[in-house]
Amino acid sequence: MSGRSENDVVRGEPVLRVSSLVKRFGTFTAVDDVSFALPPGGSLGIVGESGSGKTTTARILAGLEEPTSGTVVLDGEPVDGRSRRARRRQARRLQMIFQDPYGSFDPRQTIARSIAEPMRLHAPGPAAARRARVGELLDQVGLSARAGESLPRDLSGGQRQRAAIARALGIEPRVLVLDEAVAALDVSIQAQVLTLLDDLRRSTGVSYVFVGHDLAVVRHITDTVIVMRHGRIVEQGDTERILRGPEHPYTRLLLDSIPGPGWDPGRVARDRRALDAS
Amino acid sequence: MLAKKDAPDGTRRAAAVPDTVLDVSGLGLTIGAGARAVPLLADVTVRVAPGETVGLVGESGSGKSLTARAALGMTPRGARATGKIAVAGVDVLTAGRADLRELRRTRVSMVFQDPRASLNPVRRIGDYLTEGLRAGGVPARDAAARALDLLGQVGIRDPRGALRRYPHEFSGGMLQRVVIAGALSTEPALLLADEPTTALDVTTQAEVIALLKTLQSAHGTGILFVTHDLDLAAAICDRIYVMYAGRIVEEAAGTTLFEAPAHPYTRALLEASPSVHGDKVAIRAIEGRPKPLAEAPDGCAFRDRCPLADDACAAEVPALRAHTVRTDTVRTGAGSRVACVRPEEATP
Repeated sequence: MSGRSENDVVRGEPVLRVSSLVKRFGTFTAVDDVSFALPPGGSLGIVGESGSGKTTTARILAGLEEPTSGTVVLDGEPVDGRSRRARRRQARRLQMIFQDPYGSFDPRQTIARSIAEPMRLHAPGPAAARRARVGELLDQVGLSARAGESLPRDLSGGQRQRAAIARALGIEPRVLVLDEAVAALDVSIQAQVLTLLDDLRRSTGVSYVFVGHDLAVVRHITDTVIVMRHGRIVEQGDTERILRGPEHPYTRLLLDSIPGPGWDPGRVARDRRALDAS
Repeated sequence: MLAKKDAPDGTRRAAAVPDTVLDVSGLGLTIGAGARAVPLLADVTVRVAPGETVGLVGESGSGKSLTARAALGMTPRGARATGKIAVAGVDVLTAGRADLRELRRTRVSMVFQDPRASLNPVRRIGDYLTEGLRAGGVPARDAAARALDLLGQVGIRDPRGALRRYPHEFSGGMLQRVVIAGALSTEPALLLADEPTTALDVTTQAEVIALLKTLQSAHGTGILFVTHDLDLAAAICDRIYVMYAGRIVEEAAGTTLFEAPAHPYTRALLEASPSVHGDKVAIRAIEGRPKPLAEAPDGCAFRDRCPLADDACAAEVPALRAHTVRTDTVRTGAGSRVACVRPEEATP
């Protein structure tokens, strides 16, 4: 299910390269010297708790925040400039999906119209071709034509998240940034969306930056991972290697915090206090 | 692992105190009347013994929160309840408002997902922690001392200063600890915990759970733990009820449920959940979406999504019946019950 980036894709330039990213809000440093690279067709996880800087990092990638220093190179071109044109160029190649798909749809527009909107903006062409493409996209994410004619409020959370994915894929971006994109979904629906994301990566070669707190989900959906704490990367590398043999005490703490057979919450609480004190 | 039958001091309580702190039997809940009636819950039976932690798990719309709230007499406006709910010996469905208030003040507490929803933002933490005690007749000075002690117990730094602070000055995790301290300050017989750690970071969740278990064992509180997180339920619960479409579909000890799920829905849920433990295995998605009782098909509500379903499943709603589990690792399935016509096919 993973590893295809290593086998099928020619390992060339990374589609996304982030170097020495820093973001300060006043005196508070939210992101502190973060660097990573994402190969075409790869999937990178960013994990951490609230305040770790993972969401700020994702927002910088999507152009929603400007870094204090450091660079983001997307598809060979540095991302900078806050002009409309620069942001549009960036959006063409990188799309973001949020936790709550409800907030990202115009409540008065049908799902099909919302999916067509970015295509109209980024790749103007005949309306008929666009309609056909919307039909394809709906089909690709497992939504019926009827769902396409519905308003956002008439769809379930899982259906709305599928629609958000369809909309993001419409302009064929190189990178999808998924910020806690399955966190609000029921387990059975979450599995459907994860399976869909797996299939789409395989069939389209799109790359993922998957931001999340759930290590089990991150294990399933990513090849590599960075673990963030207080704005800094504490561990980074192959997802399976890190989850099976964590080297940093914080990564171990995160893993020990996950309930399972023989879980000892008291010990986790003590380890956490020890780590906070050090 | 199972319920402690004796009180901590080894003496049996008098007959006036039954051996369940929560006894929900055959609970049905319907909104509206006549042709417009919408069923929400059907034939829900849930029991919690003193000192026992019982999980109520399910996806959205399964009715798990409705069941927990009904136990406190909180039903949706216009809803009609049938069946029986007894909390610490009080019949909740027939009790008057004064009796219910007395019950909530002294015998049952509830903790919700968002601690900020339980706290008045313009009142100090000290007021919140002492009001229940003072209403119970504890003098102000003693109540303040007690609150200070509670804050210390739940690991709040500078408890004296914390008493004078407002909710917005605390993080979500700290505040949830304060709420749990308050909920258990009256040493209730029953605590209803509805997704109390869902909004917290994982390391904070572990701290809050550790606290909950410590306070529980000190007071012998029975806990009904409502959650969507199967792993969490299995790790902390003595017994688990699985709900689907407003009904209980399986009841088993936490470990049994995991190693030998008897209902196809339970099994499907486990197979759909990615895990960090053991070798990486593919997840298997369940077709369709979870439905509320009113939209569920006749007969077994899960049959439209169940890989094992056939015509027999449409005939009638399968009754919850005793089920013995035999696998290599699980020796006893005593007390396990499942609402499926062919549970032996679901168990791996």
